[in-house]
Amino acid sequence: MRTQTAAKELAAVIAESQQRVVKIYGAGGFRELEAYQTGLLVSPDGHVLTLMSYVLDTDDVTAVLADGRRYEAEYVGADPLTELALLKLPPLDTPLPCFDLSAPASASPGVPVLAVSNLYGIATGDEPVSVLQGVVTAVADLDARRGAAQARYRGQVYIVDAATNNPGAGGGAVVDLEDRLLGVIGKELRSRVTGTWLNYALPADRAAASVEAILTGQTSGDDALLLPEDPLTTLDLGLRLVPDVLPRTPPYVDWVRPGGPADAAGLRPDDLVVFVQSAAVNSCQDVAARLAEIDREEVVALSLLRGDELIQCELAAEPPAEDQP
Amino acid sequence: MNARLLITAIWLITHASAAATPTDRQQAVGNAVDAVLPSVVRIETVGGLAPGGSGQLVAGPTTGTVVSEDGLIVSSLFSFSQEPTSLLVRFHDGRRVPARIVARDRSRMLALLQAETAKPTTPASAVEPAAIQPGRWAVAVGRTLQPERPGVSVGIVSAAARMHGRVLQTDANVSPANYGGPLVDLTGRVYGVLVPMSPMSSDEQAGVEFYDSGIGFAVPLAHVFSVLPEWQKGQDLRPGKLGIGLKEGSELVAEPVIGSVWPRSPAALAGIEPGDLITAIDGEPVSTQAQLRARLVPRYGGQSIAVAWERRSAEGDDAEGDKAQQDKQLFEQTITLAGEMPPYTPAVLGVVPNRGSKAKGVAVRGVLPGSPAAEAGLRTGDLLTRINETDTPTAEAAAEALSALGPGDSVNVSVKRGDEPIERTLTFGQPPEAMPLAADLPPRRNAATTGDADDWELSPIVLPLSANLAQAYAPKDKTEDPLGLVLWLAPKAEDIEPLVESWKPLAARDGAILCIAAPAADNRWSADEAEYLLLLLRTLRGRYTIDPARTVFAAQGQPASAAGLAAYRLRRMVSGVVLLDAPLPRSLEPAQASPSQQLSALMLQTERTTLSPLLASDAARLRQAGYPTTEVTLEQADAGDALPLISRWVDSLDRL
Repeated sequence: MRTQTAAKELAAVIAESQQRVVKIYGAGGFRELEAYQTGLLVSPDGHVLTLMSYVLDTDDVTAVLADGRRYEAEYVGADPLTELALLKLPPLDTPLPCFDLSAPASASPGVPVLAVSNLYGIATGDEPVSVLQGVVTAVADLDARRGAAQARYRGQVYIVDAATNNPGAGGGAVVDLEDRLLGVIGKELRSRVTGTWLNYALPADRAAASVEAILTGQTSGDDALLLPEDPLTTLDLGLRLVPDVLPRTPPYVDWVRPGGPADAAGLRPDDLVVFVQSAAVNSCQDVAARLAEIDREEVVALSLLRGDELIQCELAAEPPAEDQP
Repeated sequence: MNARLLITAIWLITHASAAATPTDRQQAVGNAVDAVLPSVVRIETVGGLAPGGSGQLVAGPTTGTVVSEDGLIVSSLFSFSQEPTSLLVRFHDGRRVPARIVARDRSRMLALLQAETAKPTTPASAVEPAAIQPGRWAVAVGRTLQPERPGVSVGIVSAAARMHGRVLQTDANVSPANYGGPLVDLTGRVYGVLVPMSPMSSDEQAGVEFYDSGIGFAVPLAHVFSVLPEWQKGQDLRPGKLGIGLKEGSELVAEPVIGSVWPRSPAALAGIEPGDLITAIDGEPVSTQAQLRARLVPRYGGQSIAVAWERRSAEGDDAEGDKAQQDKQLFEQTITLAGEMPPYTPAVLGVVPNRGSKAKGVAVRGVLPGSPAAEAGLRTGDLLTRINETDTPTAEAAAEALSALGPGDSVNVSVKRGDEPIERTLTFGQPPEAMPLAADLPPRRNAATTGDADDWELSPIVLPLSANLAQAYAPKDKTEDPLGLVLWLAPKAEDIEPLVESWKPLAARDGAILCIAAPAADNRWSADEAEYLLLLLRTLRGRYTIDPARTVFAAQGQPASAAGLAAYRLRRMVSGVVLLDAPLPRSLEPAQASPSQQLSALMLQTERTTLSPLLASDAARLRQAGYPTTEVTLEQADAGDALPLISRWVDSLDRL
């Protein structure tokens, strides 16, 4: 009976992953700041991967294992880019069950997953943490915000359809049905694309890199994800957009400098910029924000609407001239 | 369908039922998504209005489902509420083409788009309605998060028909990340197009609060195909309206008795009158309001339905139920529903009735100058007994008889002046934009019915589980005759004595209760307290005899926002709102007044207030929506001084 076998496997997968997840208690406990979150055992000698958050803002951080053992956890370090932190339990006689970060797994949309976390702090003492089931909804670049601030990490994440975006779940594991770690549940964030709360996890390979960086003391951050020092502007491309007077002023071209890159590519006033590289832009502010992510040396692909006609072009900034205004 | 696809389909159908293990299911889900993917597009919106209202959800890209080979795409209205200046559609193969909105479906909250493409597009195929059954696997597919790879969420069909049969329900995650995308079965056929929807509101963004909650909706694709031939011609589809308001009552229990008929609506033209009982729609009997709604809500404007109704004649003596039964008239007619109602303007007779009169008829206490009643020569002391064919033993009966009439209509009225019977014909003009203050009315005849001042007292109204405090100056005992009610929202529970003292003589003269309520937290009424105000109003209506036609909310300054919102939301139970030096809440967009939902406003301002321009624009906004609004400028911003004026105004609200 295939069904029964699968059910048994599932129970085993859940039990094994629960053994590798710990409940973390620390600072907080007032208003909407819960004093608990989740951590993952990532080494047999007691390294715990968790979120860098206010919960760790105390000398008194406690980790409770699935079997109820309770330890003071020592802060080792954090990666400011992924906002992951590493804790260390005191030396123990026996090795601990742990996720193997040296062989991170990956998954594509539709793959069934389990989210294993200290959701809402429901599990206490020797109770194993809560498990949600779902599938990978998407593997997408994180474009999210916390309040009005842009989230720092902008690389790929797993979006899942289990409700992981809830208090206490941060730092938990998303595993596949073979008990391989796919990702670490991140902080509560809203999507900048849809405005909805995101159920997402930082990929295991990215988490592994963070752990590596923390242990070797090289947590300066991933340069590829930082903004360029000398970004592009519309004037570099030889064009100017209409004055940005509305909250979402449509990005129409107002003026094209004769002989500039935009002119050479055939752009005209009243063309509407709709894409910068592959990102849709809805406003003058969007255009400025997207250009700010592109280095002045790079070639930028623009798509524009002229009436119903879609115009695509690639522009490079002019070399800086002495006499430019 | 080529051979390979056919084999895949057969494999899927046989395999779908065996998708019991997670691994099998993963395979089946993957195949289902692959099968539908050519019909799933990403729609980019460009430009448009700033995000309004909640400001919580941003306008971004959205998903669409292809429904024809020539580029017709169905999506959710959700992403188009900001009137984007341009639309672009990105197809499965990466082609990006401009698109335009052809028409909207305001009943099922869909948009129909035409993509400008010369290349044939791949329409989705629909699950036949009989196969939409609870428990079947359902996969929600979106392209909003990223264009190249779809977003996938797996669940089941939770219900085949929700929202009066307009949508099916699923527990797969449905959110702005897949609105407009398809909900498919394990063969990749489409159950429906994902939309947000709410039982509370027909707003384009309503229902988004259920996102990712386990409650998601989809409009059956089979339905979309059934309306497509007409819809693609470019006419918006709108909810079909009969033009009736039902008598207050529990939806699940109360019979569908007509409370009001919208003037010149399909119902009015078919001869349906207030008091009639709807008995069947298209031959299917209806016995409750909920059943009637279930039959009407799915229909579009322009569709025809057979309506059966009966009229119990008022001739029958109430004491003899059998006889009343015999005077039942039956009607049946095919009625074409309207997509849009003519703007509602009430028929105002201009008669202020004398409350507490025991005569069989409406005793005229006064006649508003310039009104049809004044022009026909009606005067104080007359007894109005009949409007057209309808007897009017009470003011309510007269109001009902007037409710289906509007400006331009003429009626015959029967009046008794002493023993002399008088017949008059009068024609309704445009109703007054402002409710006149009843300063010139003679006082009510039966002052005694409200009791002596000694019989009134100030007592606390305590509601269980509520931190709010309220006190009412009201009769000790329940009165026989209905009283007016002014629900005053104060900033705090203290210092209410001067208000009550000023009210005492007015209560005796005009017969109205003053209830002063304070917020749970000092000085701040919050939006959450609307529920408390509803309970308070219900409690007062239970404890005292209250006239709904003279029930108003009132406030000065900050609490006015809460008062304005509460009055508007409860306008089936409330007839007016008084705002003293305070504008309406900015978020309030008053819906057009209707026969069962009217509101009068009294906007008071002190001479030097800086709010003046704002108040004037609010008054214009209210009048525009059909709510008579009276503006008065006072010398001082003292609530106590304003009370006599407020009391007079409330006293005239029950005019016909």
